[in-house]
Amino acid sequence: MAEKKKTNIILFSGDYDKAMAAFIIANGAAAYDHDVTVFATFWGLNAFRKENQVPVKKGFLESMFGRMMPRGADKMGLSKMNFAGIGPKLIKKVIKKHNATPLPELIEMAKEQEVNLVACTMTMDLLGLQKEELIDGLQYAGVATYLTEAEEGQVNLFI
Amino acid sequence: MLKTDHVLDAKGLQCPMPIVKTKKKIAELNPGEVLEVLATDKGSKADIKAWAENSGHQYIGTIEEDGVLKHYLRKASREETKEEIKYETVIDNETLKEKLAAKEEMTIIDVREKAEYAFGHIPSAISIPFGELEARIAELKKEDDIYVVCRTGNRSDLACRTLQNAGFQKVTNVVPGMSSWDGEIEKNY
Repeated sequence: MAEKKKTNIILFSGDYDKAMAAFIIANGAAAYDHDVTVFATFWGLNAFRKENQVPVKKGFLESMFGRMMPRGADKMGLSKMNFAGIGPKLIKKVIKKHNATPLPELIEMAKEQEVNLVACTMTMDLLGLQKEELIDGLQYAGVATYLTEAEEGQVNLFI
Repeated sequence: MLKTDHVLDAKGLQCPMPIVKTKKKIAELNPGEVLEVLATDKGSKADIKAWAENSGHQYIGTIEEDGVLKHYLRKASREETKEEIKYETVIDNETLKEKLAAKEEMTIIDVREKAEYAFGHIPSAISIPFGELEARIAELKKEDDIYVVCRTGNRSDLACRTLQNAGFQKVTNVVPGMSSWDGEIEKNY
């Protein structure tokens, strides 16, 4: 059998809509039999946050960041028409109405399809996020890991 | 209604669910089996076709009925990818076309799956999927001139050997077969 193709997606954005696009592509590519990796960095890491508060020791700045950023994929805002949180409620209604798949389920499905979910450790430090606060099943890595995958990737996206 | 081995109901699901579900489902099938995917996502026609071509499965066709798209796929079988034609009596598509034009008396058997046959076959061909050949061999006459056709010449090669072992004398394999047939075709679905 021919070598599997690779899709690599950098999820930089912490917006619900952009993350949704990233995970639709990730799931589609997995169905296409690609080796798929989603690298979450900066605000994209919030997609991998657990919903509940996890007691971890943090400095003042890191705690502030932790409080101000969305806890998990479902809490993320929209890149357009957020309207102080009303936008996401509306879009979730529309998603339901059209029977599309909401973001948390897309992430679950990606895990089921063995998509590699990678969290960038450098930005985790910057935003004060610790492993305990992120969902299970993640890998932790940096730029070299991304480049190794990207070099062999047929599809490379930055979202 | 086309008879298929398996049906996947993906009605109401949106992108990327139809291909994600199709991928999961087709993994359960045996090589050569046909899957019918029911979907309402309008983009699924282009998506399923592209997915099948990319993953090596055969996209047979799509029928639209009452707003439901019915996609037909056949799981790739390993033996078909390697060109190994063992039965010696063969005829090419062109020569068969000439024989048809000359209205020669002959029996053409199409050994592809029912769904493949429905999406385009030689008008006078009888459908006997390879899997049913042994059970239906009594329908054929040993003294007839029989031409066996499939998509690429592999299943028909196996069918020719089955018929030869059953004592049929005048059996010919049509190569390559329907994949490059440019003569008259008939569709029924």
